[in-house]
Amino acid sequence: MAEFIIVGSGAAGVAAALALVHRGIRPMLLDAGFVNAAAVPRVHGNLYDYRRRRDSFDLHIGTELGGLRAALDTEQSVAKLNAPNMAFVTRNAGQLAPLEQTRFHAVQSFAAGGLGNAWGAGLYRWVEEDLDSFPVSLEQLDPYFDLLTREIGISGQDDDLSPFFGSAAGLLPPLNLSYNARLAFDRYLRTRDTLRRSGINMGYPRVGVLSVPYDGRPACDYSNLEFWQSQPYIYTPAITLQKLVSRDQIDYQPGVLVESWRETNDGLTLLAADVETGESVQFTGGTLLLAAGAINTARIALQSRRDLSTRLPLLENPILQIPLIAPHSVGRRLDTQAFGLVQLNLVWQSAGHGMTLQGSLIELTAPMRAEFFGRFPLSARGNLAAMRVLLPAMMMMQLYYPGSAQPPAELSLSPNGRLRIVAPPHDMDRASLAPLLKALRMLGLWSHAALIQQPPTGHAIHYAGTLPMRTQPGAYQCYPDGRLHGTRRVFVADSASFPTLPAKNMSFGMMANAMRIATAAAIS
Amino acid sequence: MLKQANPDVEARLIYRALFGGTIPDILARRYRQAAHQLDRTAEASELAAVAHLIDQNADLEAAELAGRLTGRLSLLTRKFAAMTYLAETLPDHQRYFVTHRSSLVAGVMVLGWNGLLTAVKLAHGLWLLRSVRRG
Repeated sequence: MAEFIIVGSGAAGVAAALALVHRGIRPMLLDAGFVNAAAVPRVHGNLYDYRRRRDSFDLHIGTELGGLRAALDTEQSVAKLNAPNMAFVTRNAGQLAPLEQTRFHAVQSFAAGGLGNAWGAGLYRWVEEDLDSFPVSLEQLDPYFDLLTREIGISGQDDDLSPFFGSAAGLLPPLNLSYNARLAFDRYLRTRDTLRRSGINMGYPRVGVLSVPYDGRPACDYSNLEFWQSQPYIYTPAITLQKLVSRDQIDYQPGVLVESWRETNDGLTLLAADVETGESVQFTGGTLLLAAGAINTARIALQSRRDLSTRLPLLENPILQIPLIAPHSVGRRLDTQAFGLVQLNLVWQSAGHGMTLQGSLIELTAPMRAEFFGRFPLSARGNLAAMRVLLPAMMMMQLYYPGSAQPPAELSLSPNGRLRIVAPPHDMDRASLAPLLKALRMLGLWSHAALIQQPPTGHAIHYAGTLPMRTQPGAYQCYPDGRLHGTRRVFVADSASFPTLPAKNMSFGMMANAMRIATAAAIS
Repeated sequence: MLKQANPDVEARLIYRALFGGTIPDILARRYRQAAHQLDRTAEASELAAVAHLIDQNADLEAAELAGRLTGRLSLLTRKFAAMTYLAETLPDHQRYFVTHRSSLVAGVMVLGWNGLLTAVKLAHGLWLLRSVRRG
């Protein structure tokens, strides 16, 4: 019997484990725990140098043709998850946790380290404004943000975004900017006062990517390989998991899919299945910390009560993707020495929307050029030409809205055991982005409302709010300490407990909150 | 019986439309595997339309452009996309995707020239699609 059992090894699970380990507790961690078993050779050096010398079919496409999914499937997919080296992240998710989805495209992971294996590593502290609807104060989270900043190694800087991204204490220096991002940021610094008066602030992102060697890991080498293989300079929860396992600080049990719990007078029993054989297995413990992700944590809660009638809310950050062109860079050589993910952040306090929106300015150097075939209204050869002379001048802004910007989806358990997710139809208003597009033009980045894309709901992969925390919770809601209403020993450590979603990457807030809840569970 | 294009001829014509010249053997082999997957899930009408265009040795680039811009014949666009992905993995095809020399003037001229060609191809492609509908 384990004193504490954690379900899930993603960002929330490993953060909860870390908090317990710091209190001298050795928790059991249950997880399906898939790892990358693809026989793809590791690339050393720069992606584009490698491609000039070697056939990159194994790296980009793979014998299963996973890298061709964008061309083979009619449904939109997440490019990074199609890479052969990333296939393990979503392996068997559809079989282990089947979904029936309407207007929602959930991405699930049963990998060791969860979806964090393929994340953009954006790690943004929360500020008071983000906690408006939380029965939790920032003072309760700050110590965990500090601790995680030291554990992870986060690059960033104290700049105009600090009021939105919190204290810059303990950050490593920011990453080098790509050519286009540097020009945009220089223009921002020249026009800063005007832009700030219209609610636009720009600055460096806070990312779990090392700009200098840290804790035995190397610094970013600007190799553009971020889409194609795990890179030691990018933090993922799997790094902490590996560290905890190697130090024997947790009892890690991979190969297990937890299905439900049963509470008894002196503890609880977890009913699970062996991932490979399907055989039933049981675990007994004192306290359960659910960190299987907002969707699967809700599934376990509904299955534990055999509840086929309740509909739970499911929040997500609506996003818009804004393609941007820097006209002065048309025809310029591709910046092959760039960090292939987020370069800069922009925060827009939009008077028109009455809310704060956050944009991530992303370089397009890491994905395959073919990803953009057909995106230009030109012939096939014209598209190839545009890939050569326009793509080096292009960036993409991923604009995040708070979860409250659209009605939540509904999640329920079907009699056939599938989880049903239904999202209401909702189109984001592109015309209201005119002030943002004008500000971006001042930064030398041009776009047009007609070019803005709205990916399917679920594409942001920021799922939350299925079991929200309240001061006075009801059924399927949590107390502020994370304990699930109607239970004595079940705590919700992941984003399922969020009552709202701010317009920023939730990972860091989720990790800090998981540590807070694990600590509360240990104390109680 | 379902009418489908000969995969070897299809690979050769799509490659020629995109890059000109003769398709390398390794690329043809990989493309056949991808096309097999595409054809398995494609609608019969789209398969027949692509087969008809290939039988006629039609200008596939023009047909693909017209199909893409009018929201028809997505199968052909996905076949072009698959060929593009596969070609990008070959070292000797990098020049089609990445430029290592900077020239704003050359860049603008390339785009302008391709804009003009696109207009011509579009007109031809719309005519081709009409003939497919009639045929």
